[in-house]
Amino acid sequence: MRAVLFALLLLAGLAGPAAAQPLTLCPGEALRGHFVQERFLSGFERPVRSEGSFLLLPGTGLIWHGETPFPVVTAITANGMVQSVGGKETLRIPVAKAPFLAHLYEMMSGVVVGDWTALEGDFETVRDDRRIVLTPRRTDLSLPLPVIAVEVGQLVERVEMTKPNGDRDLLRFSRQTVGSSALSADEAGIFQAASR
Amino acid sequence: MRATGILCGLLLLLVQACAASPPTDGAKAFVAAGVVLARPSPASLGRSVEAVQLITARRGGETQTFEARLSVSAEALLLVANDAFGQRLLTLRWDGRNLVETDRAGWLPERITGDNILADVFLVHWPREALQAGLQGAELRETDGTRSVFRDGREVIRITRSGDGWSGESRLENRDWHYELLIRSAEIAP
Repeated sequence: MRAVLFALLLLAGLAGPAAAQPLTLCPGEALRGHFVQERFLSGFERPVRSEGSFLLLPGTGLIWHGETPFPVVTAITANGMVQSVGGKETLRIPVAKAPFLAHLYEMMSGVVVGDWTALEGDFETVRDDRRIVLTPRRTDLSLPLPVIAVEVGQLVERVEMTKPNGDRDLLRFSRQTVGSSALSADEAGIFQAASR
Repeated sequence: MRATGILCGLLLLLVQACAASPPTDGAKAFVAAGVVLARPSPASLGRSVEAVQLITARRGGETQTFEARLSVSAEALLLVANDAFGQRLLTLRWDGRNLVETDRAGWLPERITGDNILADVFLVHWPREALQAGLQGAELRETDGTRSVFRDGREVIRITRSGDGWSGESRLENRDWHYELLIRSAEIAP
């Protein structure tokens, strides 16, 4: 779910009305970048830091590639979510069996064209200059949504997600580029496997 | 299927793994048929450590992965298990006298106990001397990189690991309960 939310927020940064001069993805373009994530769990002094890269290809899906501390690849397509560790598939959730994934996808699809209706159905959004705070409206979900604070320049730069129990994730995005959607062999293979 | 159903499915492996094992007995856990491990103290690890682990569980043809965060000091062991969606499955705190379990996901089957989870943590990471003192019904043998639990001359649990297992990969194969854990572990630097 986190990867889907991150994708949603990246798209929100592209199309978000808060950005002064937001970039937009044209047909055939992809967003690539680097992320650093720090996970703070209540009860632990130190956060867990992880790094990796991502590829967001509207209409196709998202590849969230954690490189450290563990090699975990999460791919999200219209078919659902697939996760692999060290090149071996460890999790597959078809969207037909996960309505919440389909719902998040609906939000992503709207946000990418600047339609925040579905997003604002689930989150109360407060925008202030470069900052957007999304507070969940729904408490009836079996998978509780976090409070999300997003800092946006031309693209999403920083995201903080805070759960009701105090656990939080802090993400910083860098080296983001909008470019050709031509996929590497690895990327194509990941999407292909995820679309089965 | 709602998210809860999927999350239940993620732990099917562990449910199956635990289904054949008896419940825990006070500060002890059955780690194989007729084999009991008493919890060693946090201090008996002999060092402090903070680590994050990615654990892939296999049973039959099924494979699932979850994440664990561990902190061990002389005073206490703290473990948080998260599912693939980043939600807490449970939190365990063992101070050498009391085991406190909190944040347990409401749908988590009762047979998945803190004792069973901790028993595998102890078997992989704790020093041989600390384990041997609390092991009943079996013998612990150790050679370079391999640690085995023998019951009546039969190897019922085999663990391969690099060093003390806190950095790198370890593998635990429980031949009695027919499951395998591949544990990728990374220490968290101060």
